[in-house]
Amino acid sequence: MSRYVLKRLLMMIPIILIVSFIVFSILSLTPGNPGQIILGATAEKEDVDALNHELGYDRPFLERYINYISDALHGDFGLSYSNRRPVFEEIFNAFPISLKLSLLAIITAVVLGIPLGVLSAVKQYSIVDNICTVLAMVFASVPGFWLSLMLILLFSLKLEWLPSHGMDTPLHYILPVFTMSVSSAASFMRLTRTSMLETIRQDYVRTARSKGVPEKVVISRYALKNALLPVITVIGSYFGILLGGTVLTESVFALPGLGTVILQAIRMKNVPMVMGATIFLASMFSIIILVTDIVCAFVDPRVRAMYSKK
Amino acid sequence: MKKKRLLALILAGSMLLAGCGSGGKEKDGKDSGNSNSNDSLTVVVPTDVGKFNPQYTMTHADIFLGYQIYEHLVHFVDGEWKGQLADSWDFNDDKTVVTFHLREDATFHSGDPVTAEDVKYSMETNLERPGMAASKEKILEINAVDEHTVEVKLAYPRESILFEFATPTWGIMNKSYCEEKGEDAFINPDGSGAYKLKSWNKGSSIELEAYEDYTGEIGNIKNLKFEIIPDQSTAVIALENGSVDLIVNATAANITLLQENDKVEIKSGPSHTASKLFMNVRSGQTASKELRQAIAYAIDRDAINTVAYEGRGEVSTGTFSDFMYYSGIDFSYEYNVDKAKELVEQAGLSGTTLTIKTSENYGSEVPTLIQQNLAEIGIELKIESLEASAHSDDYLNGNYELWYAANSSVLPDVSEETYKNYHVPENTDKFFAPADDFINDKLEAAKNEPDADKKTALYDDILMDVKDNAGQLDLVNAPSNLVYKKGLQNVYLDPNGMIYCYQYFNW
Repeated sequence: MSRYVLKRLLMMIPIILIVSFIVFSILSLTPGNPGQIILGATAEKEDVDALNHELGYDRPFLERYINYISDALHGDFGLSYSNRRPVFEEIFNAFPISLKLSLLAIITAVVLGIPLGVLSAVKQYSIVDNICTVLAMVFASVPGFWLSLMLILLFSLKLEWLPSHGMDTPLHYILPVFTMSVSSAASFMRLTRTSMLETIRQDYVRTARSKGVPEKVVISRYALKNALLPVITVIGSYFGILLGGTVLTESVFALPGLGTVILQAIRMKNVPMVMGATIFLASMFSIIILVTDIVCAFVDPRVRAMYSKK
Repeated sequence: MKKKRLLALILAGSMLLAGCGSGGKEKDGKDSGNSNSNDSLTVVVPTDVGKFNPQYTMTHADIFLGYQIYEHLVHFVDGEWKGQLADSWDFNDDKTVVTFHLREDATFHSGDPVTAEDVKYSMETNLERPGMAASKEKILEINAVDEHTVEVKLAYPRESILFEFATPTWGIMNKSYCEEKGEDAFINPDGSGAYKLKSWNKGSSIELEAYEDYTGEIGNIKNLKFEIIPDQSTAVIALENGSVDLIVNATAANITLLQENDKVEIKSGPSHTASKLFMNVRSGQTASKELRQAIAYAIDRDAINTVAYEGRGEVSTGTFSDFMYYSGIDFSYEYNVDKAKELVEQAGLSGTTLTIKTSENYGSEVPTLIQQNLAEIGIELKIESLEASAHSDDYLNGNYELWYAANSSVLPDVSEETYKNYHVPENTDKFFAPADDFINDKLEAAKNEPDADKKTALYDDILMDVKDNAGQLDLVNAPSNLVYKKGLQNVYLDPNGMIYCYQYFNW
């Protein structure tokens, strides 16, 4: 198992290199330049050229990429074009916010989605199942920014129960976390239901029931453990996606997360910032997927056995 | 039992995560932005500050904060000059030297006195930045005559240099502090402004407090907070529920919404930002002057104001009515479809197809209205919406027939704006401007004219040429506004929408 983990960690190096090259190429190949964006659409050409020179943007693509990677290997990810501060200073300011929100959102989604999915499967075609299914479809299809604004209008403006923006107290987290978690909760609910329905029709579950094992035990010990495997994998992926930032939610609730930082950096063609954030996120995503695989191995002995053979 | 423990753990973890605060900054327990006490003002900014460096103004927040923490020599407030760091100033007879007399009791927040050397240092470092080539051409020399007197020698007669010194990047910094601290001087800034930095909750808010030894003019607002809210719908709700006090430049839709609210006041007026249509005079079908003039006659700018700006803008006269050296002549084309049709016929381009380039920043509402106008004179207009930097690139390289944007005139001065817009530098081109050999000579002559009346007449002549060329059409001067909680006094509207010194505001 430890060899497998080490192998996966080493695999992150080429993944990050490929990701960095793709992002760097896209940023270089798209028209426009930071000097132009910083100085405005109708700035003088000589001013634009002078600023691009100062930012080092006037050198050839490959030279810039090789310099960037070589500096990055020495721990220097460059200075943000927007404030000339080290990019990781900006990333580390924004990341705790995204991490906190993502963790809260994923926990909420799991706490809501999995039990409701189990309930739906166990009570298939009942009124509870129908209500859960309809709610899941509604929440999966509602656009996040619309839901955010509706929640703000209701809870902040009309009822005045919750703050509309900022992040000073635990109350500030309720609306954004709810907005971020509902669509994941809906997906987890649907996936758990489908997976449970498949599992509870398996022979071993039928055997357990025929042997007189209480229904609660059959569901929680026999069926749920197996049904959760695909759900765990999806939880890992959703967590990675949430970490990357839900730009619209961050924007509506005025939360300075990583998504907002990256979006602003892309708009300004702030190459060091976009590169630093992408490399950071690619690393985080790879680690999360690895952790998810390890969790799966602990839950399912068959998976564990597979890794051990290798 | 195990399940309950697990649930308790999850809940405790969630509460802990949420309660961890934001960015480790100390808070005073107030709700976000709540500033109902009468010595506090909370202003919405859409983005965070990059750093507190007056010369590094990448966002509106940088500009807004710069004006509170740093002082400028002078300010142009509500159409009048106000000395800020300068007590008084005077020009020599031919307007080529301006001398500033500094407030003698002015100090930086650290307690260091503000001296002429600090002013000289700030001005010289500002001139060395990229993007300052035009300013560098105008300013020959900056001298610290004595501890509280600064003399600026200009390359040509230029009374309007005062406008330039009032713009964001000319804030005065503490020379010794900047030299000692380097970049860190802009994380913990040492300005001489009415407010000093209290806390910076990155990405969330910036709090300032009144500088106790400030000797300039200041109202009763002692605590100034900038709340960062990127989405304006959220900002409007925050204003409605009272957690913020002021929004700068609300959108037309939000203004309409807020008009119904009796707890807020709206101050609006024309800005110095105009929507503009550029036509390529050097190549393609728009090289035909008749066609360009036909397009100019065909555009219904009243309709653009009504539809795109809800009637709150001002149909442009080709410049701005409150600009220095503006004679009052209307340099715009009247809306005359018959004349437009006649000119298209003359050009032999009836039924032709043109393309207008716009970007996500400027939208396609105005281009769509232009498209409808041109259809009336038999011209089909295709709209191409580009990513912002591609749009800018096409402008610089002349890769357009029609190019749409809205941009601001920072200095309220016809001479500055006309020279900046139409002077064609060597080895480059401005694809909408009259030919360089023709326009550059006239611009140079007008620039060097010391007499204000003669200068105005020379610029009238140039703007008539510009009108005749029809390469750039100013359509509508966009509205500027402030929306704020009732009770706020001494509120002035800045046409640029960014030069606000909240030290002049009062509850």
